[in-house]
Amino acid sequence: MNFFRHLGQHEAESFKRRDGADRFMEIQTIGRGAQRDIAALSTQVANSICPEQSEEVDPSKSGFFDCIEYSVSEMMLNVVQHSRGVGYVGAQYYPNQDKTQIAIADTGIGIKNSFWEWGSPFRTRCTSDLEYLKLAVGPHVSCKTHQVDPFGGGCENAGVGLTMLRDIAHSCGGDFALVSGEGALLNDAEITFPKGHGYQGTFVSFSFCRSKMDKFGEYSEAARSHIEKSNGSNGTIAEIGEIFK
Amino acid sequence: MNSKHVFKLSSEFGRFCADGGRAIDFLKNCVRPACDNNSSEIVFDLDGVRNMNSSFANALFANLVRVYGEGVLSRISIVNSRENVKKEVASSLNFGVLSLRKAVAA
Repeated sequence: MNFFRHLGQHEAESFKRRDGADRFMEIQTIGRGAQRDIAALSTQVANSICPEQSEEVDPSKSGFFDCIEYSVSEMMLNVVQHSRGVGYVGAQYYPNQDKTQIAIADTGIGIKNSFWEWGSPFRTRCTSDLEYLKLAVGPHVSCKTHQVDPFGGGCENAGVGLTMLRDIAHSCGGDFALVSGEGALLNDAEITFPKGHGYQGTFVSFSFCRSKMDKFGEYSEAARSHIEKSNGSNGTIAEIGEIFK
Repeated sequence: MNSKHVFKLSSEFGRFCADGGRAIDFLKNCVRPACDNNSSEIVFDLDGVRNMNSSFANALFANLVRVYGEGVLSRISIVNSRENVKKEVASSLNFGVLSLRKAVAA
């Protein structure tokens, strides 16, 4: 995975580096503040794991590719928008287990500090890192969703990325882990690390069962529906349907 | 409606629309001038867009509704959208309308 390169170790290699096509993507750095790289890097991850669906026209046959691209981009945006640090992404496909696992970590300020840094009104609701993590995976919670001026540089998203990702991972037989500070969410388990043994930045890991990902459209629709219900919506407003020609 | 603006998103963002920050810039610099002309019909052509994440969709479409109100729905149309992209856009427009209604109610 070329892990040691990112630690500054550039030793001569006497082995032949394996071609990771269809199986894994070596750890890549997520650019500092360079959002323009998000789409390209997300597509690169999806191409590394699932190149055969890259040009598929029918979305019902490209769910695996679409899911990887979608989820990786959302998590990378969190790094770029909130962390104030450097991010890293790596991915691996385990065909015998039918699973793809993706991890994104950053060296930033962590979720709790991010709420405070951006002046979120949610920031005073929690006292522990674990409580901030639980808050962050809730719908429409983001460090920036309170910034109501879309042109003011803050109101860029709706705070549903982590919520959707966790929901989709669980729906398709995968796992979800979120670690920041001294708190961790590992699927349904809530963990608090001993004082001084946490992770300063943010780490998120998720996996999907490939054989179930043809239904990515259904899973994402269900996740959106959960979020909309939590927001008081009873379905899409009728006029919106008429917009699509 | 005596003028029509067509925005082909794949020309601007490629096949995967994923960057909320760029979507805001696009809304501000390209879509807003068109919307500020009250006679304009705004068409978003999604031909060539394979995928779109919620950050991008909310940044562009939910904020479009937030800025111009529900009335903007009668001025926009979306063509050539892949089914997965269509659902993402519809959800973000819905979110924009609900956000506005909540703000008004409060």
